Amino acid sequence: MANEHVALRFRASDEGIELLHGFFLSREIFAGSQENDDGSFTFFVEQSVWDNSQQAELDQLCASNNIENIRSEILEDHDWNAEWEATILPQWATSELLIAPSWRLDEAKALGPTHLITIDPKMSFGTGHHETTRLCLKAIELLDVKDKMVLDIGTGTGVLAIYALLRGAKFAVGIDTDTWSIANSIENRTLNNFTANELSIRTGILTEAVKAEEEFSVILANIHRNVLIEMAEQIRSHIAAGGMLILSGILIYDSKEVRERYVSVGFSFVRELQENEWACLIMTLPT
Amino acid sequence: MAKKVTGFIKLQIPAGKANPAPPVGPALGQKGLNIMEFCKQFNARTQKEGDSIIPVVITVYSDKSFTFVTKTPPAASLILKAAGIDKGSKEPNRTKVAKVSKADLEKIAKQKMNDLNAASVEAAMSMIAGTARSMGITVEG
Repeated sequence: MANEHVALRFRASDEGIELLHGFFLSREIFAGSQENDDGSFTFFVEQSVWDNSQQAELDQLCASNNIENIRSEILEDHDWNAEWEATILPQWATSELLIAPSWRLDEAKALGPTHLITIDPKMSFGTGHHETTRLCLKAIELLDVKDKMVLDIGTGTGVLAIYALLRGAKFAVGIDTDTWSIANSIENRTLNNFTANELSIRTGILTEAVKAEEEFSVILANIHRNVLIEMAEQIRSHIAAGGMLILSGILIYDSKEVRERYVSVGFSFVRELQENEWACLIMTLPT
Repeated sequence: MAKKVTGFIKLQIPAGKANPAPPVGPALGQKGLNIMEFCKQFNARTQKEGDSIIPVVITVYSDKSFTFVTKTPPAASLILKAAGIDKGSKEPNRTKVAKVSKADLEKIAKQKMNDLNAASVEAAMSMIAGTARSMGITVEG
C-alpha cells in the first residue's frame, strides 16, 4: 500500500506559494499540492522522506517570507475510493458481461447476464466504468481465449484476467506494481471462485514478475502510451508465435504511434476498437 | 438540461503520475468521485509533459461525474525546466546548482501572468527571480 503522507497547510501570497513549490520541488519530495476553498494551500509529502532538518528549513523559509504554516497532519493510508465505491451499481461492460460489487449481486443476477463478474474495486482500476476496461473486455470476446495461457499486465482489480478465465482460458497471470491492486485482485479472484492455480497474481514490473522463459498465447495490457511503448520488446519476448496482444489505455491520437512501435518489433496489426476518446489495439505475432 | 456543478477541486500533481494517494485520493474521495478514472484520464493526457507539475481544475457535478482542465505549471517547475535540472539546491544561499537568463524569466513570467497577482511582466519576473534564488538557481544578467 502507499506510504502515509504528511499534509502541510499554508496561508501565503502567490509569491509565497511559488516559493513553497520551489522548496518541495528542489528537494524532490513533492507529492502534490491542493488549493483549498479558503485560499490556503496544502502540500503533500510522503512521510518516509520527511525529516526534522527539512521541517527546520521549511520553518526558516516561512519565517523569512511571511508564510503561515497553519496546520500539519499525518494522513494515514486509507481507501479513499470508498465513498464512490459505495455508490456503484451493476455495470454492463459488454452485451454479455455484467460487473457488480459483491453487495449488489442479487440485483445483478436478476438482470440475467451471460457472464457476471464480482468486483469490489477499492483503490484499483478496472470496474467496467471506464472505456479502456470495456474496450479490453470487448476485445477478449472477439478472440478465442479457450485453453489459452493469458498474461494481464497492470491487472488492477483483476477483471480482465478473470473474464479471460470465465471464457475458458486455461490459466492466467495478473501482474501489477501497486500493492493496493495486488491485494484487491486476490480478493476479487476469491469472489469469482478462482484459485491461485488458475489465476496467479504477482507483484512487480514485467521483468520482475514473469520469468524470462514464460510464454503466453494472449497478453493484455491496459496501461498508457508511455509504458506501452517502453515495454514493446519485453512483451514481444513473452508472447508465443501466433499469440494475440490487446493494448489499451491509449488515447485515439496516440494509437498510431503505439501501433507502429509494436509493428517495429514484429507484431501485425489486426484491429482497432474505439470508444469516445479511447482506442484499443488488437495485434498478433505472426507464426 | 446541463448538469449541476457542485464544486471545484484544484490540485497540482506530477504529469503522468496521478495515483490514488494524497492529494488526489482524499480530494476526490471526499466528493465521491471515481479516483481511478480520474488518474487514468489525467495520466493519459499529461504523460508527454515530462517531469512538469501540472495544475488541474476538476469540475464536480451533482451526479458524481467530473471534467477537468489543466493549466500552466507552477513557476518553480518551469524554472527547473529552463535550467535543465531535476531538482534545486537544499542550501540555496550557499550552493548554487544552475543558472537561468533574464530571457528565461521573461518567458516564464508571460506564461504565468494570468496566475500571479502581478501588476506587470516586470513584477512577475521579480517574483519568479525570487523563487529561482530560493532554489539555488542564479539569475544571469
